[in-house]
Parts: sequence; C-alpha cells; structure tokens
Amino acid sequence: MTPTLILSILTLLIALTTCVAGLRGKPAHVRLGINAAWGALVLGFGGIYVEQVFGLGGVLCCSALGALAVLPADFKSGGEGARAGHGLGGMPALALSAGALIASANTFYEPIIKDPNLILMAGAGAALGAALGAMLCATMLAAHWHTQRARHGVLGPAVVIAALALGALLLGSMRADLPGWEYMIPLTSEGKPVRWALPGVTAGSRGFGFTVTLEVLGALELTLLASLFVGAAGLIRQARQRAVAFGLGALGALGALLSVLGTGLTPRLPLAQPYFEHARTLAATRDVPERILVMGGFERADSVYVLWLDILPDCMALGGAALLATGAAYLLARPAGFHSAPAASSAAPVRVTPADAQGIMRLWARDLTLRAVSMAWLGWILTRFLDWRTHAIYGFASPQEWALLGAVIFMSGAACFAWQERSPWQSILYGLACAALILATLIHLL
Amino acid sequence: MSRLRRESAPKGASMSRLGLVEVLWQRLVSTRAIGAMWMIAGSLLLLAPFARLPARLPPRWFEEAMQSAQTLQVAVLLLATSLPLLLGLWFRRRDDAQWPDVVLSRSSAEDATSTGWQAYLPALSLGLLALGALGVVGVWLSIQRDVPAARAPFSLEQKTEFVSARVGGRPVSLMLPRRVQVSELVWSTQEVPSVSVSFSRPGQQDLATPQKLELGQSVDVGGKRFTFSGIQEDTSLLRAVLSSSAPNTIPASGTVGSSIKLAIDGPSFTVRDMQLNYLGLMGPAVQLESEQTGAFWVFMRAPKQKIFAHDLTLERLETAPAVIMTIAPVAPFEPLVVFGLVFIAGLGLLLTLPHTRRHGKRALVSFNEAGALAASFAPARRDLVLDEEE
Repeated sequence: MTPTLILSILTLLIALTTCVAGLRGKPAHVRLGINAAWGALVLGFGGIYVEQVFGLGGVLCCSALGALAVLPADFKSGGEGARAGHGLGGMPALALSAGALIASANTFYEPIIKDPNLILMAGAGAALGAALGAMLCATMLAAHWHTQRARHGVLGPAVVIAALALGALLLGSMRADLPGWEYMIPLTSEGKPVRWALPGVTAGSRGFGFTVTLEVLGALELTLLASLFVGAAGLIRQARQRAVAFGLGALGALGALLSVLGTGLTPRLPLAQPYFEHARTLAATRDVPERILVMGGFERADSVYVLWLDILPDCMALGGAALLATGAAYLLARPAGFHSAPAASSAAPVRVTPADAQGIMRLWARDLTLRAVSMAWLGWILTRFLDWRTHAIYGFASPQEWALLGAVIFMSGAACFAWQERSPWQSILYGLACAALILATLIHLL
Repeated sequence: MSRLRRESAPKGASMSRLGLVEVLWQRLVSTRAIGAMWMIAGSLLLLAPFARLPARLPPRWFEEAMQSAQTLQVAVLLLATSLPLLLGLWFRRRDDAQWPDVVLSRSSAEDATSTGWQAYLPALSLGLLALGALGVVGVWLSIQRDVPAARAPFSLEQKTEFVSARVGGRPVSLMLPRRVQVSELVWSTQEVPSVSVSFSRPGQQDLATPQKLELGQSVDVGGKRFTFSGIQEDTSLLRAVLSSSAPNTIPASGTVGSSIKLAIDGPSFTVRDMQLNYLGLMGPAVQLESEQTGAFWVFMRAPKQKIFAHDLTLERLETAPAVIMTIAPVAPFEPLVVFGLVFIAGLGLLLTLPHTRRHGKRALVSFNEAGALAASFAPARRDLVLDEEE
C-alpha cells in the first residue's frame, strides 16, 4: 500500500468516527476525531512535501481533513445543536474522504512527473474544505434552534442537500455533446476518451468529432426526486414527516448514485445513429462533403470502459447528498430531534437560561461563519498563487475563477447579513452560502 | 441583571424629519444592507458564466477566459459602495455601547474590559484580512482585458507566429511578438521537465539562441510572458514507430524529417511523409528514404506473405507531444505576494489572538472566541440557573 492509500484509509476512518460520534452525541469521541484530523492533516502536508503523498487522492485527503479540523472540538452546552453540528457538519469530510480513497486506490502508481505545486493545491483544497465544513456546521446550528418554532427551520440543510444533488446533475448533463438534457457519463477506451470522429479532409489532418457519452437511465429523475423530497422537508411542520421526507430524499440520491455506478460498471457503446445525425448537423455548417460524413465512426480500441476518476465528482456529490439526508432524517426521527427542549421553552419571557444556551450557540454559529469566510478567501487566494506558480499569471479570468470568487463574496455577504439574524433565514442563508461554494467547486471539476 | 436589548432604529415621525441622505445612511449602515450588497455581487459573479453558456459547450470552456464587463461593473460598484457603509457601521457600533450583538442574558461576574492597544487588535486583524482579500481581488480584476491570457500548444521544431485565443467567447488569432520555435522537450522522471525555446524576428533566425525553460518558468519577450506550463498530444504532428523482422534490431520512432536506425550498424532512414490513411483505403503508412533504397512506403496493414523488398513494419502512428505555453501580458508578482501576506497576517492574528471584548456588548471578532465566551457564560448545569431573575 502506498502512503497515499494509507492516508486515505486513515482519513475515512477519522471522518466516519467523528460523524458517527457526533450523531450519537459522544463529545469525547468527537474531540478525539477532530484532534486526529489535525494530526493527519500535518501528516498529509508532510507527506506531500517529501513527495510520498501525491495526486488527487492526497488533495482530497487534505480537503476532508480540513473540513473536519475546522469543527469546534467542544461546543460547551451545545446539546442537540452539537449533534447536528458535528454529525452533519462532518458529512462533507466523509464524502471527500471516500472520494480520496477511490482516487488513491485507482491511481496507486507513482506519478511520472512529480508536481511541485501539489502542496499549494492541497492547501487550497484544505481551505475550501474547511470553509464548507464550517459553513455547514453553522447551517446545522442555526437550523437546530429554529426547527421547532419556525416552519422553515430545516430549509437550510435542505438547500445544501438539494445543491449537492443538483450539482451532480449539472456535472452529468453538461458532459453531453448531443442535444438534449440527460444524465451522461463519459466513455473511455485505452486511456483516451471515446470520440465520434470524422476524418480530415486533407491527408494527415484531423477532422472534427465529439466525446461519446453514455446515458444513465433513471439518474436524472432520481436526482430531481431527491431534491424535491428534501425541499418539501423544509416546508413540512411535523418532525416525523420531515424525517420521512429527508429519508426519501436520501433514497433518491442513493438510487441515483447506484444507477451511475451500475452504468459505469457495465458500459457499452451507445447507438450510432444519434451521433451520425448530430455530426451531419455540425458538418452542414462547415461544408463537409457527404462522403466524409459517412466515414465518421466511434474512435476507440477494442474495449470501452468508464474511468472512476471521471465520475468521482458525481459520486461524491450524490453520496454527500445521501449521507446528509440520512443524517438529517436520523436526527429528526429522534425524540428530541433537531430541536432541543430549551428551544421549545425559549418562547417564554427571557428569564430562562436556555436563551443563554441559544446565545452561546449563536456565538458558535458566528464563529464558524467567520472561519468559513476566512477559509474561503484563503482558498481563493491560494488558487491565485497556484495560477502564478503554474502559468506565471494572476489568472485566466475563466468561468471557474468567476464562480469561485462569486461564491466567496456570496458567503461573506450571507455571514454579514445573518450576523444579527434571529429567524429561520439565518439557516437558509448559511445553506445558500454552502450551496454557492458547492456549485463553484463542482464547476472546477467540469 | 438586566438583559441588554437592541435599540430600535428611529422610525415614523422622527425619520420623516430627516433628509433623504440621512434616511438612506440610517437604513444602509447595517449588516443586512451590506450583506445584501455582497450577496448580490457574489451571485452576479457566480451566475455570470451560466448566463453566457454557448449552445454547444466547447472543450475546456470553463477554463478559458470569459469577459462580461457589465456584470463586473455592477459587482465592483456594489462592493465599492459597501466599503464606506462598512466603515459607518464600525463607527456607529463603537459609539453605541448599548447595542449588544449577541443575546446572552447573563454576564460573568467580572466583566473585563480590554483597554489600550490590545483593544484595537481585532480591528487590525479584520482590517488586514479585508485589505489582503480586496487587494487580491483588485489584482485579479486587472487581468480583465480585451485580450486575455491564452494557453496554446507549440509543436516541436515548428515555427509559430500566432496562436488561437478566445476573446468575447470567440476564437481569434493572437499575433506573437516574435516567431517562436520549440527545439527540445525533456519530459521524464529522471530530469526536471524542460523545453528549449527560441524567439526570433523574421530573417534573424541565426541570431536566436534557444532558452531553456523548466516547468512553470517563464520568459518575457516583447511585452508578453511565455510560460512553459505542460504538454499535450499534438494532433498535427505524427510520430511513426517502426520495427524490423531482421535480427538484432529494436523498434525506433521518428517524426517527419528525422532519421531513424533500427540496428546499430544498420542503415539510417529519413522519414519523408506520413499518412493516416494512405490513398483513403490502405490505412496508416510512412514514407522512408535511404541512400541505398531510395524512397519507399511502409504500411501498418501489411499482408502476411512478403511482397515488399524491405523487412520493416509500421507498428503504429503516434501523436507527438506538443508543448503548452501560456502567453499573457507581463505582470509583476509583487502585488500578489504583498496582498497575500497581508491577508495571511490578518488570518494569523485572528487564529492566535482571541480578543474577548466585554464592555457592555458581546462582540465576536476572532476565531475560538465563542469557546471562551461560552466558558464564561455557560452554566455548568442547565437546571441550576433556569429561574434566574431578570
């Protein structure tokens, strides 16, 4: 086993321990998990520095560990809020560490060329992971104290789960070169993307073509259903019904994930006719003669397959949505649920100390948003340094850069807007900030 | 102990007596207004790429430059407007000691108030953080030009005078200040990846001395910065891999114009031409030439029975690697470093120096402060203090 794979397994174990301990209300184990995450983070960066940890697996490990390490080790009087914060706030780390394990297991060989900028990439990943973890934890804390009193209390977590599912759908639908809106995964053959290619008109030249993708049946519908269910959960009043809606959302996301994996494990070439027709449409605008058009075909070796790394972002997004929805359903199904008894009695005149508890958790939410915003800005600045190291420029002004900067500014605005907010909007705004960061991060993977 | 309450803003008649500017100032100097401005600006930047999605998405569209001047103007205007409002908020909250921003009904016995220079450390930390972030945003905004940076492939041993860039979403040809020729590429595990590049004016080929660039290194030529940033497959330049059935030979590869030998003491062949599909039906082929044999074709789809005089076989036609260079206007590195360091200094202060301010208000301005505040305010046992009198 390579050090990268070992670190990935360690990261997954730490994330799993922390999330389970958080959901079950075991603060000592949570503290242990967070401290272990700090230790593993140091190990990860050390491993990258001495060129023993490498590749996407290493970067995802650092992102997952950053998302865990940013969580507060001890909420002090957190109660149920701490469960939601630690248990659900740690879910991105769990999804990222699972992705790290898949990436490390699939790229176990050493890289041909060592990347000297990997440590900077891991730093940016850790900062952005920390930003997501902290903002999600703040979303859960804010949702916790509004759940009982306000109808839209859990809309914040619902927004995050829907963003994850819809983000996966965005990735899947934007791969398609054929007109239409389906969930697609790319096909590969002998290490190269399968293409529908037309030969060049002159000898030696290359014609034009487009990437061949395979439709995942049912993934589009299941993903939309998952988003609808969790969205509806934010509008339902009864806790039990909310739990059922979150559970159905989790099932939808899990179903979509399984259908993507199933299609990926049994790939086949799609029908040629739609590709031929699409090539004919494109060729018409370029005056390509018919005799060239009929020479078009699938450009591939004997076998076709789907690369794990190509569908890893989808799997992490769908898996993350399923995990979060399951965690939310579990918390809502408990007798105390998201909402604790102090939140119920705080409607009384402000003489009871549960208001203190709420105030303290509000402080934690602010603290976490401050961490999230700072880490998001740090992540964005590190990506600028990365561009400088690799291209000697401040950036390309690409849509990826626009989106990430927009997400960071949006997060800052949401934290500022909700600084003194005492309504369910607080959780919704934090959830939207998480959604913005998720969207911007996924665009980087397109 | 009395609970600190947020004072309501002047309303109704009192507001009507104020001028429009004062009313606006009263309304806009708030965390909500400033946050809303940032959220709108952020949404504009985040969603601008989706508003400009082409009907058919070209490869790497999300990585190439995108221009949207109107969106940027609105976003920058909103951000710039929020800065004086943020200052106003700061001064207003400094003056207003009765404005608690955290709901805590109980205070600790010793309500310590930090004085002296330490009281300004939170402001300094946040100021450094904001200055660094805004500085890097300003640096990033400076790249929003008519002709953005471009990544272009350079084929080995070929002279290039212009490359393709995307301006306003459309591909355009970008004239280079010099004629560029990549003469050597080193891409292996043993050595640091590097290329040799020469820049020449037309007619001055002999004077151009190749410069060695390692991966990530750049050279400034004629107001443009050329950076060696990677390799990719060169679909315009093919490389043939040939083998021989003769004893004591090894496969060899070559591009058009190069010479290859399959045995140490064997003949040397010059690669004259390559065809992906010879005559449209005979498949990949390469034309070789030697002094002894003259020019002849070698095919990949050779018949089993021997019909050619030579014993060569074309194993495959490979695409050769092309060098990826980033071409961008020359920009100094120092501003990015300075603003980045300023940001990290602010972040470091926030991380290492918790500053709990407790002069009547419970402000949270640094990391980990919630824990310290919670420790001083949180009851040890919830049931002991439930009936604390107001």
